Amino acid sequence: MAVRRGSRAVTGATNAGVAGSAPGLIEGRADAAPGSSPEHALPVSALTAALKDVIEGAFPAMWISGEVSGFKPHRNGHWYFTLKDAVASIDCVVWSRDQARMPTTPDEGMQVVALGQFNVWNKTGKATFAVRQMEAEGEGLWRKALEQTRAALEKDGLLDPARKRPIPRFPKCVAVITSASGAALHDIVSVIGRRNPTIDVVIIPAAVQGDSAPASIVEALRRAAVWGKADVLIVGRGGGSREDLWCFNSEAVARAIAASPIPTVSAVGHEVDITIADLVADHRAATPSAAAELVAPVLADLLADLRALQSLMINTLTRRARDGRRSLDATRNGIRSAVARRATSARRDLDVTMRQIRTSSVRVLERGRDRIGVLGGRLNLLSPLATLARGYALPRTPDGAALTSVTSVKKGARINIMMKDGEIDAVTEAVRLKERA
Amino acid sequence: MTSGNNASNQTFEQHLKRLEDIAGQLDRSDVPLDTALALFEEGIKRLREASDTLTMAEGRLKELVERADGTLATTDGRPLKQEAGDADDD
Repeated sequence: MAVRRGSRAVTGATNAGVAGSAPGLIEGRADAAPGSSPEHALPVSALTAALKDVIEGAFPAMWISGEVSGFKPHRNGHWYFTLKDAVASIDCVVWSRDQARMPTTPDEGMQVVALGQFNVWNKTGKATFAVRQMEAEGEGLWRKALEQTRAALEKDGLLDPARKRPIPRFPKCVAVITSASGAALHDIVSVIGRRNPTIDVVIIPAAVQGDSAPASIVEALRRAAVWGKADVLIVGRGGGSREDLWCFNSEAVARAIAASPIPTVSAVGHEVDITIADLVADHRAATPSAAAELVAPVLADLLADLRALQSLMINTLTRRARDGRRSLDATRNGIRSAVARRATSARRDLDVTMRQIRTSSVRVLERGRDRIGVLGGRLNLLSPLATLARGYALPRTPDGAALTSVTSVKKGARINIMMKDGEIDAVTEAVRLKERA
Repeated sequence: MTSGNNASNQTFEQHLKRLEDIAGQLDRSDVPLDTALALFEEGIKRLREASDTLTMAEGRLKELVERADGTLATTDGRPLKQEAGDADDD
């Protein structure tokens, strides 16, 4: 098909006269055409120039397939190699300016498809296929590039899970590195606005596809770090082709993300494969919307949490107060019943004592009565009445007081004399004091 | 401007941490009742402040721009609520 298109192009070039006299030479129609005789010999440079015009004009950019052989990155910055199949080979070049569009260099023997165009060198007339884009079968080149970047980052410890920092629970400011006009920003703003409209969203615009994307993202990350006022950083873009998303596999971007002083969330949309940015970021979200959900706690939930905390505190304190009152009541009841118990036992003790006292006083009384009986007997013996019974008499005053000395009686005084069987009232005739011996 | 927000964010986080701590302490029987009462009072105050920081803040969509002198600053931006409203209309 490419050949047929090529043929048509050659014919077209002839009709338009673009290639000058050369097509006449090739098709061998004109008699005195340049190169038709020794007299009309063509300078070599005219031929190569014609060749260049024809070949380059005839073959549009096309995809060719083959196996890479003799790959050599030259000192001048360009890559040289040969693409071959079972029967033929063709020289290829990748200009240094086109290399950025390729994930990495191909391996020897790698089966690739390459998009490019023929270049013819004026100096040599040699045709080289200039490759602008190249892909290996089974995504070999992309995988190889990813593995290389991954290995380099791993070697420096940038993929260590221990490096992952937590996202702040309550960010007040979320910075977003993405295209200012892309769907990703719209999605992020809409999700955060819906979940928590108290959060500031600061866009740090960056190109997120094309050759300038890696440098642009790195610069945006630098700005975010210098500004330093964001609590968390979302880096990403919406879905796209693998080439569109390739900047998120750039080693420079990965290193800038790893170096970010602010916790980062990667959000490269709708890509099933994990990008290198995902590996170095503190957190990975599958889409920009998911990243927004990850960083923005729902305001209503936060308020509900606060209310729940309030209820918890009130309930706990109420319970503690109730428990306190209950234990106070219990203590009071305890004291009351202890007092009652003590009173009962005291009364019981008192009763016992009283009984004992009563018993012992009865005993004392009885003992007393016994003693009184004995004493009474003895008293009876000592009693003056007993003396009277033995025949003695007892003189007394009329009042009944005993007269024990004659000195207390005067002549003429009335006295009473008690005897065993009665009394005598008498008048004193004389008082004689007994002479002292 | 945003640094102020940052500070209040810190406060909110601190409020919440302290509130969780207080709620836990209130539940402990070895904390005397009068201490618990003081903790409760502090908790209610912090709750109000934390809730204020949430309800009184208004998020905005701003852009970080580099000024002529090389320093970085944000534009005033637009309220986020309005942006979210626009998005819902889509």
